[in-house]
Amino acid sequence: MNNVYLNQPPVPGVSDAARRAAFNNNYAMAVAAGDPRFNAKQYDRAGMSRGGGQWQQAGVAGAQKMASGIADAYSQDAQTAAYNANNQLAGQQSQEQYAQQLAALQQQNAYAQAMAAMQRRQQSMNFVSGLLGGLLK
Amino acid sequence: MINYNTNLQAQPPMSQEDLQRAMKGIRLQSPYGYKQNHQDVLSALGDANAAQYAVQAEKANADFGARKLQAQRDLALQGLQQLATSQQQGADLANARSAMGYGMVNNLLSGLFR
Repeated sequence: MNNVYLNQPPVPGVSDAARRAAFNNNYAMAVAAGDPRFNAKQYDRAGMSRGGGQWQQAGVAGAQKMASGIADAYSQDAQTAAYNANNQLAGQQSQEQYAQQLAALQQQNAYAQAMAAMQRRQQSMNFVSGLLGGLLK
Repeated sequence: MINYNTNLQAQPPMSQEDLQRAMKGIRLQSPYGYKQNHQDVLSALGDANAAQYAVQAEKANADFGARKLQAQRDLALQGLQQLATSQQQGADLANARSAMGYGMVNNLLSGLFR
């Protein structure tokens, strides 16, 4: 069981600390994957020793991995920023919608009360009018 | 401020701290073995996975909070609507009762002074 509080502040999205940690770690992973030694194994051929060609290919592969990894780090952070912005927008929209629904409800209630009061006055006026009509016939 | 007691789930299933503790220390084992273990790259990969996981977990928690807030607002509006409806029905009842009273007195007077 829990309490429901109206007029709560909007829900925050992903925190700055988590975003920074994700970006930094993605960036570090991209830089680490750029090491040519990490990329040399895939160009080894059975029975052939490694030569300059393999190392050159490994260097190119490392550079490509690093570049695409850094781009991924930035695009992931941009996605998170977009998520936060959408979240903020949805929160504000929900807040506004809630306020409008509440206002509509209050308006409807006020209208119903005014109509009921008018109905009561109409009843009493009808009564008095019948009374006077009977007396002054 | 209006308070309602509900049975909605108040907390996400797992807290952020528990998730972080679960993710800590995950390190991949190199498949290459001797002299090719690349532990630096694999450690970086594990850390990046943990950080990305934390971001996803925070997103999920934010989604949970937003849905919970929406559910609470819907519930509150429903409650207020029902309250207003019952007030209006009460006013209708009082009016009908007074109309009955007026009608009775009216008939009585018109019968007496016919």
